[in-house]
Amino acid sequence: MSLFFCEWKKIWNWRVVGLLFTFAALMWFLVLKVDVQNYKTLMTSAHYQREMFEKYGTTLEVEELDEYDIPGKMTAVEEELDNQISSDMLFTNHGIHTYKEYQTFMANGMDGMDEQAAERFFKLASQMDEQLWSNETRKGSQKLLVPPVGRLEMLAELQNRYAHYEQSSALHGLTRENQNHPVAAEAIRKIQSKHNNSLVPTALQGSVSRYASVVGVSAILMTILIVSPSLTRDRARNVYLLQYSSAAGRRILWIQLAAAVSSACIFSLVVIAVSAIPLLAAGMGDYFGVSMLFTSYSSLVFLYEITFAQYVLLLAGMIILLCAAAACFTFVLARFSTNIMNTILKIVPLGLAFWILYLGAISDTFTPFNMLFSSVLHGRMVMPELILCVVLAVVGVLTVVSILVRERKTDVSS
Amino acid sequence: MVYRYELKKLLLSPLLLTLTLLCVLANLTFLLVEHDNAPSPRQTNRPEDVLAAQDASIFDGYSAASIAESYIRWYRLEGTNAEHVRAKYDALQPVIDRKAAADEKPQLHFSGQVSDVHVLLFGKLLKFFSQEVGLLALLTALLSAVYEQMRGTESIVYASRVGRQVQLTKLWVTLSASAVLSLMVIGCSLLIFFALFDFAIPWQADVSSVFDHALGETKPFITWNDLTVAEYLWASLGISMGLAWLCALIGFAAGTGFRSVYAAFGACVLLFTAFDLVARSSLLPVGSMLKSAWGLNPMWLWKNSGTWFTDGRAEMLWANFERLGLCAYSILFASAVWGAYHLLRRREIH
Repeated sequence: MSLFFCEWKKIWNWRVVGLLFTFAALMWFLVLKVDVQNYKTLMTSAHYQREMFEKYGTTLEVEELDEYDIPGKMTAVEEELDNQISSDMLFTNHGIHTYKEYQTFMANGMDGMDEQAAERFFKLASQMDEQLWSNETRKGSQKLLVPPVGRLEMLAELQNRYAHYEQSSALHGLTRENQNHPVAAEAIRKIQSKHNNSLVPTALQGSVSRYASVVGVSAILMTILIVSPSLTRDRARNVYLLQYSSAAGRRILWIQLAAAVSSACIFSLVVIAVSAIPLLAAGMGDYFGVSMLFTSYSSLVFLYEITFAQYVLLLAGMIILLCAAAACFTFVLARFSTNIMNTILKIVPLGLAFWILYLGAISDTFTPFNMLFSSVLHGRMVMPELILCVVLAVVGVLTVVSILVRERKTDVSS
Repeated sequence: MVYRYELKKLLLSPLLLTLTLLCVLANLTFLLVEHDNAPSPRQTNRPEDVLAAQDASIFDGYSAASIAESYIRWYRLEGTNAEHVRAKYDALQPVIDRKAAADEKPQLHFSGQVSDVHVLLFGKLLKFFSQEVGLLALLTALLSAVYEQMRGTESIVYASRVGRQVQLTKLWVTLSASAVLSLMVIGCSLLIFFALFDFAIPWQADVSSVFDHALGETKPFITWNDLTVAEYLWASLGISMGLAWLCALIGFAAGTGFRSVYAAFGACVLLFTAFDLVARSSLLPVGSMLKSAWGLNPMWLWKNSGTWFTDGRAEMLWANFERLGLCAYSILFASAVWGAYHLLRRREIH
């Protein structure tokens, strides 16, 4: 056991920790912090859905939808909007007094206008749009920062998602389009039988998926960087000959492997836990019990009926598996390198391969947009991303084990 | 003599040759996938292309200010930042007027299928292989700079007649080897491209055209200088090679300056990560001088390979930014190499 801890100490020296902190700081301040802010901004435009979630829990049943009365709320907001428009000179000067008139004015657009008139129209339209979306008129009220036009859009989205999900011709189109994708067709069938009743916020999956991609790729690349030097250093300085002739003998490689893989797993776990804190602080934890399966604006957003907590756990598990696989492959490459430069020349393509694999096959996890799911497997396999991670981890472990078994009989100098 | 031996060491390194082969294979895979996904010629005719093929002179009366205004609206720019963007596009106006005054035949370069080929060649393939040759050059430089230390022959070489000046020879060798490996990658990739996409590109047409699909935007593709498609390709390849040499300088400076090979590699990774992440973040506002100056780094140049020799969108405020960035960073890292070499000359041998 003491040998195991000595190997751990070799991997986790102060310089490595310093390098990791620098990377972590760069990633947080320049990428992840912005993602968390974006999520918060997106959630402000999910005000009504949050209200429903607090009132009705994780699902929205038909009678609850009737009770919430989205059309009534839309009429009220439209009245508010009419008042705003009728009291604004910018609109009234052009004969617009209600929101309906404004929509007609915009819909008619630049039909039959010459270039100069079209430019004037474009300028006016953008001015009107800006006026409608500006928050100035509502500075006094702290409760609702979203202007009426934004609230109307939010309500329209909810109406489309919960009341018109079945009538939506596009959903039927989606069924036709995906009829060769059995998994997607099954997801649509489930959504229809459940009346698309999940109260999961629209922005949740996209935000978590993007955040997990950044965290996952960083964790894998960092794992490769920290695991590679310790074994190579032993070989570069010929320390491995001493180790082989000691009481531990060639068993030392198993201990080194255990140290590398456990470092990778614990490191990725810590990275995931630390990076989850800002998201939990932004209130994501409230949605742990919500089902992720839903469709919005005729687009199937998620494929499987799992809760948000299960989704997050699966994502974390996949990242840990990939880090373990990366550690195994790095270990094999380091075993066959006689010096650090050789290792670097090998781990650079390995890191790039994992990066491309993550972005190509793992990101957009469990959605119909995942490239592995849609382009390669054409929707014939359930959770191919997870299976790929497990296969990679198993292949990694088998490769490294076969190398270590072979090591017992190999010539010391090879 | 030393030069020849050093060059042999690098060019016959199995790892570097494998990496070169991997780069070519990656490009081959990408091009094969693109070839399979290429839409039929009938589907590629966009309404803009039909317009571009009309007999009217497309630059006649075109105002660069409208591009500036659309960017200002898009990024919601105000004050000096908006003024910077306006000033850049005001400077572009004489270029458009000159092209309009030339009264040439309609610019057909982007019509029909050629626009897709242009996107593939300059927007994607160029980006890939220029990044690949940059990485190859960086690793070649690192390997060259630390070779003696790695093999434990440092003391023998330093005690020889050449002494520590061997590092200068290694620098020239690195630049030569980077060029050879880069030419191999670029040459093979272009050969594969032209073999797969058998399409008559109008090489002598002016590359400036009215619709810029390469950037996914409907705005003119205007180069600051008059370039034909063939000249544009050569110029882009030149910038790719220049960036590869720049990476070689970065790698060589790190390999010579840091005693530990791993620290040198870590420093390079950190530098490129910082280049990329700061450019991507909203830390520096669009339209500011700082954002534009930061955008001169190789990472930004690679990612925006489709905009080389053109206006460079709102992020970039200067004309010919690719040459400016290349020169500025080359001078910076050449000085770094010089400093590292002087450190090496005074370094204690352990």
